[in-house]
Amino acid sequence: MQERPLEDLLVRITEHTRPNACVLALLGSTGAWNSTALEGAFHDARATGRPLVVDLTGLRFGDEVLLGLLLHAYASPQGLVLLGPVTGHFARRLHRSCVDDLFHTQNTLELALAQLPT
Amino acid sequence: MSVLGYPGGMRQDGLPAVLSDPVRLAALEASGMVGSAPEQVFDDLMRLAVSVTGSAISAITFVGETRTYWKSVPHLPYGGVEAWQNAVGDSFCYFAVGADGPFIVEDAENDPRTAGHRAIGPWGVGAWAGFPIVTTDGHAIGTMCVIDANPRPWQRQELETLAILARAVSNEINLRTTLNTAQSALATAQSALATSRDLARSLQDSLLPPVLRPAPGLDASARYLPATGEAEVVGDFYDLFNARGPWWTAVMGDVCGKGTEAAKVTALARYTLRADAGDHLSPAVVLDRLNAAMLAQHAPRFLTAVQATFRTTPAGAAGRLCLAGHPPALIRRADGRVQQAGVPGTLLGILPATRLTDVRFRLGSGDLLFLYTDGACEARPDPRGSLPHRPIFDEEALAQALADTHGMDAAATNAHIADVLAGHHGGWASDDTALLSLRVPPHP
Repeated sequence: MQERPLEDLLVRITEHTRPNACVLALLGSTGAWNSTALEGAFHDARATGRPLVVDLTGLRFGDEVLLGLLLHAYASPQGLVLLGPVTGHFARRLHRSCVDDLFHTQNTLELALAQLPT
Repeated sequence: MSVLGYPGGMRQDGLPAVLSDPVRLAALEASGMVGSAPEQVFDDLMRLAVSVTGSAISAITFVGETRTYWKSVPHLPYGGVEAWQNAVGDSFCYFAVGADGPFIVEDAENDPRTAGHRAIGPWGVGAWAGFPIVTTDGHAIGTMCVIDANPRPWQRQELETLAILARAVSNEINLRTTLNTAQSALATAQSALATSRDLARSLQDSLLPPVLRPAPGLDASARYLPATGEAEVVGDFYDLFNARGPWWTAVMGDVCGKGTEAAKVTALARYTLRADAGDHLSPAVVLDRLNAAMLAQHAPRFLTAVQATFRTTPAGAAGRLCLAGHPPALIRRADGRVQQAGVPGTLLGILPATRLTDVRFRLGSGDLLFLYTDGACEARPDPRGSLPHRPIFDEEALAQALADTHGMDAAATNAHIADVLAGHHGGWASDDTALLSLRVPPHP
């Protein structure tokens, strides 16, 4: 497991082998001050080659850059499942963008891992 | 000097060919040593060399193609740049450069490599020991040497110490070269940043109308509030233009991200909307066509937008508006009530199928339509700053601030919202913000 403390955000990347997955947990807020590091974390998670679970349960605020990264991950062949519940401002952002139905969202890590492509 | 063979060959004048190597000469130039005055740090090392070996003279020189430049000759008073140099063949220094290694002579008059050399008389050379000064790239650019008036054997320990001193001289020069390179790169980067800022400012200005074209019978005002410290082009844009006949279009958009890619999408969006708004009076249709254009162009960014198409009426204004991933429009009624307008719609540039819905709206006397980007409903203090934590200035806070502008005209409304936002984030705006107000003046 890697932990990266960024400005106002802690990124935790955990690789699982059974099932094959990379879990990227975001705790705190995303914003202009940490968007470059956030993009780096998503890049590193993709580089593992494993299906991606993004844990948003600890997210206080998610900006448009995070939404863009999730949409990019959604479009990738590796697959993406969100771990929720997604609450607050980011839930509102997903809703007003009409993409909340686009993402597979589960409320436990076990269910999220189970939904990933094998 | 035919008894000598240089690794890089020999010039026609019998001197080492490497003296004319342009790469070596460039390294010499980059060292900044040619023509430079003596310095304490080098003089101290040369005095140490004299002390260790008991030699009469020590020197640091830099060897060019035709001239040898003296950097440190502590036993001589400095005579100026013109005096502190000689022809490259008038000293032994080129030997060490040509050999790319130490050049040691114990009896200059009788050593077949140096016998009869024209440097022996003027410099009183009986014995000579020189080591090349080498750059980090491996180019020998000069020599550190000691000279004795009489022939003498050089002890192994003396030569080892001289080699160490020569490395110290090389290191000092290489550190300076690295520092100079870094400073030069920094200056170049600063210059590029300044150019980039100017370009960003010009590009941003070109993507926003310098002044809003007044819609007949309406009071209109727009305001753009840049994010703090941003040098890059950002993606907020707005426009107000005559679509067709009595129909006018107001649009507010926000392209995700910054920089030239965001600017390209902004330009695509602005001009596509202008072109299509005249053909289709439904904002949902126009935004759907923009979505298709973005996908066809493989636009590298998504965007959110709100578009309102309306005409003025005897009572005020009426039309339709559509949201595409954008925060809801707000309508401030003449009595101060604030209402949201629009239903959530798909953001643009990602999905081939969109869900976009037109919503009708009417503005009466004294009513105001307020369009904005998310910088106005997500403001927060810099988390790295000293301000105490504050909740995000969200859509509800924005609606309340708009209610507080009751009775204000379009420009004053925008100014008040800008002040409230600045007060909340403490002067550090994390995102850029655009505001557009359209007001039906109160009937007398």
